[in-house]
Amino acid sequence: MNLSVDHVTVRSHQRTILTDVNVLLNERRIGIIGDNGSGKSTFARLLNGLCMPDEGRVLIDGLDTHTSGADVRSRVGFLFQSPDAQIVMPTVAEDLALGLKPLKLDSHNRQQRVTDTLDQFGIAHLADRSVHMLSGGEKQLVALAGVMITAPEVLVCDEPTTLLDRRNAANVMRILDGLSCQVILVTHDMAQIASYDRALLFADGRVAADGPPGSVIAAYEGTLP
Amino acid sequence: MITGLYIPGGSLLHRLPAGVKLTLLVVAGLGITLIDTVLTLSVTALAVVAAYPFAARLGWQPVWRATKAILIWLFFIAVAQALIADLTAAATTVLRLLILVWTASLVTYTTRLEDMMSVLERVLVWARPLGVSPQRSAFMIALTIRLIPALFDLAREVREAQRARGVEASVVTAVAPSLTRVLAHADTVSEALIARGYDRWDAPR
Amino acid sequence: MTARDTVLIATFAALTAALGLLPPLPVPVIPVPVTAQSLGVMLAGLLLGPRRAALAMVTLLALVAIGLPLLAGGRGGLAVFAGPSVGYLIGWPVGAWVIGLLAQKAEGPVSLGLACLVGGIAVVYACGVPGVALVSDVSLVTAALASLAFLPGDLLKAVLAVAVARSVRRAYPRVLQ
Repeated sequence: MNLSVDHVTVRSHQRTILTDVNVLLNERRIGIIGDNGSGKSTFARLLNGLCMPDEGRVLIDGLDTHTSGADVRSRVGFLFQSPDAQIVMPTVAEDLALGLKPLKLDSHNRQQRVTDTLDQFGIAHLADRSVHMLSGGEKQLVALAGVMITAPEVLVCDEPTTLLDRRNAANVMRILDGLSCQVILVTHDMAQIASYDRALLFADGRVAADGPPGSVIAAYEGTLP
Repeated sequence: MITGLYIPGGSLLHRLPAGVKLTLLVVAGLGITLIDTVLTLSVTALAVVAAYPFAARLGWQPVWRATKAILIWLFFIAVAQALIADLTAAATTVLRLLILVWTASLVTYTTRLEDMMSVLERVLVWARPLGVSPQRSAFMIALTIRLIPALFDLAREVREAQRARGVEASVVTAVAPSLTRVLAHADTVSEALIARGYDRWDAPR
Repeated sequence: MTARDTVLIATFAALTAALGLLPPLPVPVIPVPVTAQSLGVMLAGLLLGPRRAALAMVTLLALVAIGLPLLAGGRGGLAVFAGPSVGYLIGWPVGAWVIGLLAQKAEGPVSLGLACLVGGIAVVYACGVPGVALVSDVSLVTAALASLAFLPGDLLKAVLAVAVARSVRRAYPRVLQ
């Protein structure tokens, strides 16, 4: 898909968070790096209309996030840093089924999709568990399954492994790498995006470097003490 | 995870549809106002209590559980009635309340949460003209059930954090910061809800 | 209703349930246990505005009715709506609505406290006392006198609610939007 961020500026409380960001994204794997507060999270939220530009516009395959937010979100899935915020139903199976609500499936088809997705992510054994009792790693898998059950064409991930231990982080990364859809990953772990098609470095609300991950990561590490 | 008051079982009362039980409960509630002798009320009360071990196979213990919850009130009513009127009035009022509470508890103990929920959804369909969406109401209830344990954890965390800093937790200093965090969490949850298609739930397809 | 409204309503329904499980507040002299639960009614009104506050309380009562033991002391189920305190429960959404209405534009501790006194105490008692009178078959005056036992605890809670709400409003001014 073509994600076009067209001269976008975002402000909040008299502060400018993004300044005239202008990029076109269509690679299959795109990594986004930068310091806390550099604007990378806001950039990620622009891509599915969770955040609106104050100037400029964001077009997802030609759909403006401002006027067709709901349509955009049906194509662009979003995985949050904290699965606790993302999981909203009491049990795992119920939570997965929630994402299917807009599709208005009958109960048999819905059940089938839930079962298939649980299998796909290796969490079939958790189906009837209370989400509150899951471990952090299990929760993030459930959150990811809840997004992927709707088969989005693009998945935007905002630091999905930050709260996980290394084993669970590696597991989530292995699953993300296996997805057939386009993936845009915001991360602090440079190794995760080393093999990606493209990387963007954010600094002070601007794109400070853009290109193959190797050179972008080198540019970022050059700014570190 | 919070658990309901439902006590699993396979008795006649357990198998009776929730809608039927609730209708019978309303009828019983209205019927009870027509009985006014201590004798008939006592017999009715005994019949309801007997339903626990026999019709519902719950044993006696739940009877006590239901009674315990209104014990202070029973005491208040008995004393007030005995002082204002007489012992007959006291017995009548106490028995009426006991019958109502025991019957209502019997329905709660023998009906699964999901079945109550679907009755509620069916009732809410009638409220549609008032702008109530049964699906959204059902979601609200599920979301609340999801959030209750999370709220407990947040409050506990803040209390521990305060203890670690050596501040003795008073109610205000314990509740205010955790509430602020809960609200920030609520913002993230609503953002996630939008990302997961909240604004497309009602869209025709 | 926006996603945020939905989440805030569910949050305050859950919060009020959670407050019911805290240990009772120690209030000297009076014999009745003072639970922190009606603090939730006041906080919802002070922080959410009338509509969302009332809906939060309705949601909590719906959860109680379908069989969850979310009222203080682990009470719940249909029986609580057959008991003498039914009026107080019905008074929660009404009281939260009134507090929300009065507190919406208010800021100072006095006006917020007044909102709690009117909505959280006067309105809730006005709904609660007839319930006690009806189920206990006593006069309104007797029922009202009996309810006075809860007044010191409720006044304390109004003070706490205002303090908490003001602190939260400062830390998180967006809440009222």
